[in-house]
Amino acid sequence: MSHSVDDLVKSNAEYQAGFISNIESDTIPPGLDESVVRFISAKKGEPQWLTEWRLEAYTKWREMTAPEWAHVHFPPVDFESISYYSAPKDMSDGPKSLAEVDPELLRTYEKLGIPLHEQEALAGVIQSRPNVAVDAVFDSVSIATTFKDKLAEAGVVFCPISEAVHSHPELVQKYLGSVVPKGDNFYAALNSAVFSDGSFVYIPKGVRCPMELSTYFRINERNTGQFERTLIIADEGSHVSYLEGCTAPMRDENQLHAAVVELVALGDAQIKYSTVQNWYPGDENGKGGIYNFVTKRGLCAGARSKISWTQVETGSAITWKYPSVVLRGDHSVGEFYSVALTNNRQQADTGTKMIHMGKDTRSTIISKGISTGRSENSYRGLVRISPTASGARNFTQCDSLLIGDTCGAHTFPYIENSNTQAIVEHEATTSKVSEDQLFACQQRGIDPEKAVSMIVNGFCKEVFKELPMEFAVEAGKLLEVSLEGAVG
Amino acid sequence: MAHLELALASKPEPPRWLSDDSDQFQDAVNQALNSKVHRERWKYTKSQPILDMLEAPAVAPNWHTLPDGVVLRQITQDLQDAPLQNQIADAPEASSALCYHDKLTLIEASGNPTQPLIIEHRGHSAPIVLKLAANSHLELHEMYADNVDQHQTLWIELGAGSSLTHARNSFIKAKHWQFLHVNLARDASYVLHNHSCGAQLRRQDIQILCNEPGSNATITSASQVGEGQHLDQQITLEHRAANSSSDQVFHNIVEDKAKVTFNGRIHIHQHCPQVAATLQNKNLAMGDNATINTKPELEIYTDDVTCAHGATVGQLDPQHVFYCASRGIPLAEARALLAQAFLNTATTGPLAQQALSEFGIPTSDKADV
Amino acid sequence: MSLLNVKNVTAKVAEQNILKGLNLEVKAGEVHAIMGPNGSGKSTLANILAGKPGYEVTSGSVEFDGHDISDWEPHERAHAGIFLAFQYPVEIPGVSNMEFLKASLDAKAFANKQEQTNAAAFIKQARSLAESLDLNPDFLKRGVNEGFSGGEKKRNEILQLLLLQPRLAVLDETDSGLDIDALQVVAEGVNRFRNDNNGVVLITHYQRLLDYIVPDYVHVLADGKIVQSGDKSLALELEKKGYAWLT
Repeated sequence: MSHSVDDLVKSNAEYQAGFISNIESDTIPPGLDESVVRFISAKKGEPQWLTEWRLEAYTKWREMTAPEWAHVHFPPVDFESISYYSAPKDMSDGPKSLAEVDPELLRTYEKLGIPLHEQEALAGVIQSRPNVAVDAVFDSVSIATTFKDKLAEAGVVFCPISEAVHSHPELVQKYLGSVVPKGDNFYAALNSAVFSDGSFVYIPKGVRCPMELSTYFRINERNTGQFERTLIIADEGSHVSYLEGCTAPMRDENQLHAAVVELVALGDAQIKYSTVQNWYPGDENGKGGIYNFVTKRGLCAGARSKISWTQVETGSAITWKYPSVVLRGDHSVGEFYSVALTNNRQQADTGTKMIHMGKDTRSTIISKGISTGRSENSYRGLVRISPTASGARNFTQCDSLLIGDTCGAHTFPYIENSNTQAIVEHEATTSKVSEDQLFACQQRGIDPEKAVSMIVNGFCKEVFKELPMEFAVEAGKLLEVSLEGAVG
Repeated sequence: MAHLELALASKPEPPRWLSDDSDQFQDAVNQALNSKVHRERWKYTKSQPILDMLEAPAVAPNWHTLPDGVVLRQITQDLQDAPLQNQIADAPEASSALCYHDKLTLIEASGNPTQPLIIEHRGHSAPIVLKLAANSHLELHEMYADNVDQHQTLWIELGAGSSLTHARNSFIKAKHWQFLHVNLARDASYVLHNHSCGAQLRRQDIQILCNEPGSNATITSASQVGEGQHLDQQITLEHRAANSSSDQVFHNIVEDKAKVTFNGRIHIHQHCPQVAATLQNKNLAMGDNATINTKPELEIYTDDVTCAHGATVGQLDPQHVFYCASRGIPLAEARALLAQAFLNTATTGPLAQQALSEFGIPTSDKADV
Repeated sequence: MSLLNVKNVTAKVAEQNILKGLNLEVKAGEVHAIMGPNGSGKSTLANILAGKPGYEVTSGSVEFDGHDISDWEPHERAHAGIFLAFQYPVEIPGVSNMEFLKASLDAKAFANKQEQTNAAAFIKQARSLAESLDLNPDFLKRGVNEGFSGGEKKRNEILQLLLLQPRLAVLDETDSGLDIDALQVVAEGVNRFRNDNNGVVLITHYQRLLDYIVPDYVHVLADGKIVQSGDKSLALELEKKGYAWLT
């Protein structure tokens, strides 16, 4: 007869980005000490100040312990078994022109639907993302950045951070670590010591970035960690929308991804940062998968600036991630829209921090968590209203959807208010995909798998509408794929 | 976060039924105190001033006239059927309280007495265990006299089909720690009317366990936290059985330089379908420099549940104030009226009238709306 | 050939026997009204036809278009042309009516190897149907039944009926909770639907609906069986006498 919701929750998701590329790599032996930090810095030809900055971070990291407060459980990570640098062999002397890139690498990105050839991208041959500039990061290095020239016309700088260190040293030195200090937390300190590459963006005063910018992260090599660092600076009155996507091959062992993203919005500037995170989640028994321990933080430095985070999290074995906004400028605005879906043995502890410092600052948090299988899905948030933040306003809506009774959905919202002229509202609900909803869909001819996916998409609608168009479609499909596995 | 430790200078012998060995007991308490859950419970309030009270000598409460069917006994050692065994993990501080008192008070109640059981605390009370027999109904009033520092630990066991209405008015102007732990059996019902005001530091720990199907718990709480005062409410509501339900409402008024900490945790265990749980925490900031930390938590391990929680921090609605003003009510009075209304909606039960007369809403004319 | 043939069906819900040997045959072009007191098994019959989980046929058979459909999934029955207008339509937050209707229509077309309705034509049709049912076209953008009034939910069911054009419509107490104006709108919709190629099973507690949708047959269901059948005059008789004399 008919499916019950419980019947639908089984087997593992079909992970479509799980292939391994056959690329010869230069990978340094596992383990971390000062010489590794110096090696990475030397490899990139970094100036003295940056080498020292990394070493300071390393020293701090040595003194820190991994955080244990998150609602996730995993055996301790052996940081000595990880290789901290890996680059495709012919890239080890730094990025070259696209024509010289290993065709196997290009094929990898083609397979993932990421166009690196500008002509093809413009023609929309590979997929319908004609107006997106891409920085592709493969293991530890950036292999190609598209549309550089077109962006340069507008004065926009979009390049690998390793390149920006040389081409825009004053900007990098001024802002690197200004939002996420090198000793901010255990994983941020680790990243500061060993970060390999990532994207750098600078939007000059008053410029509206002419196209969407995006970075595509790919982990390929075994036993490597990925430690990219992204820095986006939006100067006064500028606007930028930035997209980030991630995948990794299916491997039995866990791999560490500890990125840092820093955003700086000066007066009247706006940054919109969207992520579709689809790292390999591990198999149905929880074997393998990425540990996604990421620090993302934006600083609304100037008055009336705005930073908006949108994330769709379907991958990773463990997610530990709290994209945050420090609202320092008066009348600045912070937003966080999140969909987190966990299946099988995945664990997610994700949410945001909104730190209100300026007057009349506003923040909105919309979080949608979906748990199925034997997964654990937690929202963890902090809304802090400092004594100086008169007239601050926060609204938080946290909804959880449970599919099956072997998963967990949790909400840990911290509200710390030290200003009595502020208004903070938090609401949370939990619900399930009811048998009645499922039957109603089926009665109209919609099969159960499609019905669950439709209901879950409906549940996430408020967040999806915040994503740029092409990404919204992709996110919807991704959710469907992740659930398709779940509904067997 | 600082490591929590009980200052057990004198290292008293724990009762035999709790543990054979005082070191072992102490270790268990400290281990529990340092668990994630309990460290979280002390995140915003220094534990030492509260825990220090554990060592103070007990003062017998005034029991008034015991209602029919209520029997009171002082128990020393050998409490074989104490409901307190194995509770170190849930309530490490309160379990420690037992070390310092060589006796506890066991109240056994049955039937359906018409008179309430009244406990009037006059200082630190020795631990109290209240057991309500199956299908019995009781009203419990707790009051606090003499404006001296006080701590109370109260364990309540509700038998199948029983119901308890528990009203407590905490208005002493001193340091006050109230620990309350309630276990509900099948179809048992527990209603708490909680009113508080006036303490320089008041900590209320409330742990309610819906252990069997059909049980339900309701808390309605109104507190006024005056200038420079600190109220810390730590609520845990666990649903350990199917078809159980809970509803909680906490309203707090927070005045100048006052501090409120609220942590409301709802935990629904696996395989407990058809649970309904709601929680509302509303904080009304009435003065300057107040601090409000609130965290309505959900921990849910089953899908067939209906859960909603919410927390707000805000001021009086300027439109409401204006409405009153437009009818000729002076601004300061209008504010007091609306604040009073905010408390009224969460002031309920047999001691509501008394509570309302104790709450004193300031009619300060900080009319900056 | 009969469209629907329910043969001596017994059925249980939550271990309780509800239908106790029910027979019902519906031919194309016919409207059958099923009346009966609360708890007689009316809604169970509707759910058995649609294949709702938890409703178990323990003996007898349900044939649709000559096929025994007892083992068919609910969506397969829908593809074959069985439509249930729910007594209590559920809300599906975030999924717009438009999206839901298109998904239903497409799923049915796909299963029957027909071409999908093109989007523009579909939107036009849905809008005009909404208007004809006194529904603000804006409601097509809202979540399925989300925040709808009782009357709007029922009219939405009729809209779906008219759009999906099933072979057999089963209306489970569609008249309950409707005021007289809404009732007329709903009845008008059903009358517009009925033709020589389809059938209607009208489940109702009150005769009132039958003033507007005139049935060919009226059956009285009591304690899980049809105890009396007749034409529309039987409904009037029930109205006068109530159900008490049946049991």
